[in-house]
Amino acid sequence: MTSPYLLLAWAVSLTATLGSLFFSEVMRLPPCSLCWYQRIALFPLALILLTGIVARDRNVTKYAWPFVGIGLALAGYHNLLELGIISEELAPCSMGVSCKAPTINWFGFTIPRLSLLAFVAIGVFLWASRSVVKEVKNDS
Amino acid sequence: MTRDRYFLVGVSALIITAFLWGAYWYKSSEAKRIEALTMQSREQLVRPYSPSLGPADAKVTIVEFLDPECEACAGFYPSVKKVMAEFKDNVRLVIRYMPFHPNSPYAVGILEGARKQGKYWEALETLFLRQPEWASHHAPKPELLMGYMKDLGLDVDRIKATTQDAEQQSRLQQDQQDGTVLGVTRTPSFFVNGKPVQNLGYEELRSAVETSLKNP
Repeated sequence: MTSPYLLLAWAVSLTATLGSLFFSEVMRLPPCSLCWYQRIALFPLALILLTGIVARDRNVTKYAWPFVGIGLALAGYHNLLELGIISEELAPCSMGVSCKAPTINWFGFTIPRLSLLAFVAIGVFLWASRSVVKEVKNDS
Repeated sequence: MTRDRYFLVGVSALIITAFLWGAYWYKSSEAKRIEALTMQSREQLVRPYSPSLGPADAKVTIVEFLDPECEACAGFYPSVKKVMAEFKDNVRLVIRYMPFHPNSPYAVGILEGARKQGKYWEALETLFLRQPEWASHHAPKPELLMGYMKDLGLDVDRIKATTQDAEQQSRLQQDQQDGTVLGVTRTPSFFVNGKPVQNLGYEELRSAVETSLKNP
């Protein structure tokens, strides 16, 4: 039995993937370099989790964690940068699109904030799905 | 189907539908917003100083935001010419600049210099045709541009003066400002009688002109 939390983690990853594609392909906002690295961590999650769920592979969380970890680190860094907590000199994107200047701001939800939210939610759901698996094991 | 499968299919369908609906909604509201903008202030679309081809009282005005250093602009230029030839005196082409490349502002200066000597369209065509030589991303050679102008029989010193001209630079800035307001993020971008042409293509441009001719 697949944990409902695993399903939720996948749903978040798919929503975030399509949301990100909406920003770049529909709204034509060019992704900055940090955004690209976060997308590299995010997009595979939607597919890995889906494959794991369909194949009923409990190990799927193991394969998903590295992506979530990298995504969390990058999104965390990106938010610190955007909030001005880390100074500009450390910002790696001097060319092309600025990683600092928010392109959208919906009631405080900037794109880096949405990214962090997605990775945190995926992480929490993956964690929760692990404990469900353990309980099932103990019962049997 | 198991519960998981229902969930997977249902959620996928939901999210993908939301995406498609959102895309449709966004595109149509953007098109409306820009159309309202261009109707309200025509001057943002066509400035009196802009280079133009065709009769001033033509039924249809095509405004093209271009960048002389952009590959797509060069690649699409034959299609623009084809549309112009097809509709003849019914269309006017107005060129606005949206420089997105390092040497674009300089190339624009060259074009404007050539325009002062009455060879604007020849110069534009030459720049597009020889773009692979002077605008390679790895080794751009903007110094070649003056040679092309010489080949066209133009006075190079006068062109040089135009590239450094303050008025020319403020016009270029005005073009960029107008383009930004009108939502031009890529080149070439076309407006046919104020309506943005959504997709780049000969058929799209031709049918936009045709529609504007029928319903002016």
